[in-house]
Amino acid sequence: MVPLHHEAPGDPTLLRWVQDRIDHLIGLEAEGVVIAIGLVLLALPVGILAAYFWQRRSAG
Amino acid sequence: MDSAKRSGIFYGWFIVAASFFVIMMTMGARNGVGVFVLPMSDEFSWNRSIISFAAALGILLNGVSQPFLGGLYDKVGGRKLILYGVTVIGITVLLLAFTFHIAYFILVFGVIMAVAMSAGSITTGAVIVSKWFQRKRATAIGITAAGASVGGLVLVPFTTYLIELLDWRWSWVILGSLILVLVLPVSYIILRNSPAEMGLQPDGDDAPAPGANVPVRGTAPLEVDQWRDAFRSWPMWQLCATYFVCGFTTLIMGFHFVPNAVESGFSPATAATAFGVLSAMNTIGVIAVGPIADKLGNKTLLGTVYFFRGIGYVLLLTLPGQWGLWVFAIVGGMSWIATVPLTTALTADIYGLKKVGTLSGMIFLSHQVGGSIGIQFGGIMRDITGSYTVPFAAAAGLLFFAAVMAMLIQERRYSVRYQQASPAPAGG
Repeated sequence: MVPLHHEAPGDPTLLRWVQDRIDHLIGLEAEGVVIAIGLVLLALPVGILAAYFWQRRSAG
Repeated sequence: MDSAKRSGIFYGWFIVAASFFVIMMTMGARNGVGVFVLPMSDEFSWNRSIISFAAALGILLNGVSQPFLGGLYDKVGGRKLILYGVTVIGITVLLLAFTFHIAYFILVFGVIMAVAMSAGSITTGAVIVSKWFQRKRATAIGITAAGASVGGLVLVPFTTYLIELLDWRWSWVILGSLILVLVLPVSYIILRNSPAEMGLQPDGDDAPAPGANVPVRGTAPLEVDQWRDAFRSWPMWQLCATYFVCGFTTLIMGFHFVPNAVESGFSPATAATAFGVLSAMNTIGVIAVGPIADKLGNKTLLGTVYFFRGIGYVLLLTLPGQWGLWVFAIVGGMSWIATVPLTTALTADIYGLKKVGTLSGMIFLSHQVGGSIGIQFGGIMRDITGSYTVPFAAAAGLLFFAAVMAMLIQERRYSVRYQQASPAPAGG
């Protein structure tokens, strides 16, 4: 179980089942999932910084 | 920087976004260690108990170090502390790729990273955000704290597939690099300690015009300059007691959920799906409580959250078949992280912002102590009685106690939100 509450590690057996469930639901290869989530991870800081610099530029 | 303050989005929301991202990545990486357990155990022939020891040590040190790092926060400011914390977390994640012995793993994961997590934690993130907001404090902290849920939901599957694609050593390298390359620049560029640093007001309020007759914001009657003074009043003890129960009731379930589900006859697939529901619910719960608390007050909602978590435990024990599991996933999940914004907002509202880092660290320590006791109590009672009925029933009882304790906090009397603004000084 991943408590997701402050810091604690997740249970490996359950995490394996989570992976199986994702496999079953979306049917992507590992490369596809890594690339898709990797793009999301990249988009967040890029979005935050883009909004920051855009606001800074438009205000000043 | 001045240019960013005059129009558009209030800068505090950039602080929220950056803090959300910090928490998402650091807590996601930390939670994701479970994915590494199997491949690392296979390679080094570690047993589960030695890895549990590293995890338990990490939880304990994380709790013990939080007040000290909170004190450091109050001295050097959140920006510097979070930047150092994120750097050390990123480096330790990278160092885990070079694991060659269990002692190395315990030192890097269970000691260094656990202490660094106190600098880049949900607590420090919530504290820095609390300085930027007063009226919308719980809303802002709630969004920030949701980073913990989202981090688990995003990074745990990411890491799982990364290990499948590469191996566990390269996966640690990539995770560490992501923290250093993505989180560090965002923190460095965006984070600022307080609105005053940028000539701004909390909540994005307009600064009074020079010479204007503007009332001075109210001051909380229990506002402290020394953290020790907070322990001379009831609300601090009430917040510590309720957060102790929070730690007890979340970590006992975190560690004993799977054994309980398996012993109750559920398949791991059912448990996994319930986990997904619980994770989604805690994201919704933590975001939803903020705006409600900002309108209705924090303590009533905090009491309600503990009450409903207690109901979740009762239903887990009493409902037949899978119903208990599902209802717990929904009701308990909604309450899982919702306590964080409410507790931090109450701490800042009642005791002011000067020592809020130290005080939040103290309250967090009580959370981790409660969690450690909960984990041990669950295991011991399971061995003695042969089931989890007694520890889960005890958790429910504690939650009802915490609900009453939270309701008894005299928020209207002590919170800055309810203090009258003073008239402007004459001639001012």
